[in-house]
Amino acid sequence: MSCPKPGPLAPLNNEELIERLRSAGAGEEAIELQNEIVQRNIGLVKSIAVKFISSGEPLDDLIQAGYIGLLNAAANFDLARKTRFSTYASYLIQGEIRHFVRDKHTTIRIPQWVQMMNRRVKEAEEIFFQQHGRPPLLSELAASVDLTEAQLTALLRGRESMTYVSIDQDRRSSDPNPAPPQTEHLLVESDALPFDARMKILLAIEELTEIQRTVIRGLFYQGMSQSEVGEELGISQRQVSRVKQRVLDDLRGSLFDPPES
Amino acid sequence: MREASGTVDLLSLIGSAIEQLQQCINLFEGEDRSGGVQHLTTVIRSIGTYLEQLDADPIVQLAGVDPASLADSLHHVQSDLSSVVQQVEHHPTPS
Repeated sequence: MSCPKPGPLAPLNNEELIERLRSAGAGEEAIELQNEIVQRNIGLVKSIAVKFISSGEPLDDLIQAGYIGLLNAAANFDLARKTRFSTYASYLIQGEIRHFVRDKHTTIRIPQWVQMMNRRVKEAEEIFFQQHGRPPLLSELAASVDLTEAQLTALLRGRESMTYVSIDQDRRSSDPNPAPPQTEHLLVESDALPFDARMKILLAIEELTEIQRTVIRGLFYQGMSQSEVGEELGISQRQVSRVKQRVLDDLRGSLFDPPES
Repeated sequence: MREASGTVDLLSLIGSAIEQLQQCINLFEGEDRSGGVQHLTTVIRSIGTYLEQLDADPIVQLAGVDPASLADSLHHVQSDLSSVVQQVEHHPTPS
């Protein structure tokens, strides 16, 4: 198979294509230049679109939304600034896809594990502050919630992304060339286990410990005697006693409150 | 936890499940994916076995836990863990 012959636009980089697009007006040449810019940056759009695949929207639709962001970037890019077009375009593509996803969902569904981890991080921050009189360092906070620093960074950036969407829109309309956010660590994962999978396991552990706490509360705080409980359940007082002993044994070996060595 | 046969009580199930899940995280982080998945599968299966016998568990009755909401919670854990297994199996192995 022979390679397609390079066209006259081939030697131009993104910035030069945009410069030419500005002077091309609205004719056929402008369309050709726009197509060239889209073709050049298909990979960029796709790579950003796949990060939103967990939204449940079809990848093709996410890519289409990304193209709108790409064309907006081509229209608004400020050549006088020394920023690379791809950097600026990444930001607008991401913004456009995020708007698309948000419009498709009347409410943003925050995964349960994200809510759980955010709650845990907030509690850890408060406890640390009370103990040390200062906010924790990233490393200290990560250690206290059993995450790596990279994972905690991803979680915190995710939390930030849920709250700055509307500001994002304002910035986009008022500033055609806003500074891009640092998003390269957004999807940092463990090499061996996807980040959200790890969180789901932690959530399962938390749910199990919650059930365990409920059981303990029920067993020890209902105020009935062993005989009364046994009578109500149709089992002997001795069986009730054995069950309670089992519970106490389990508590001694409790995994979420291990004895200090 | 007696997994395949005999009676299983809730606290034994939970103690064992938490232990398995923590081991599972360690295995994944040591890049032993198949070991991790094996532990996850064991937990999922154990919960399934327990759910079949839930009504006979004296601890549930003693603690005054609503069996229906307990079953819901355990189904939820099962489904979360199953999705992790699926995700891990479809996630490309790191190079």
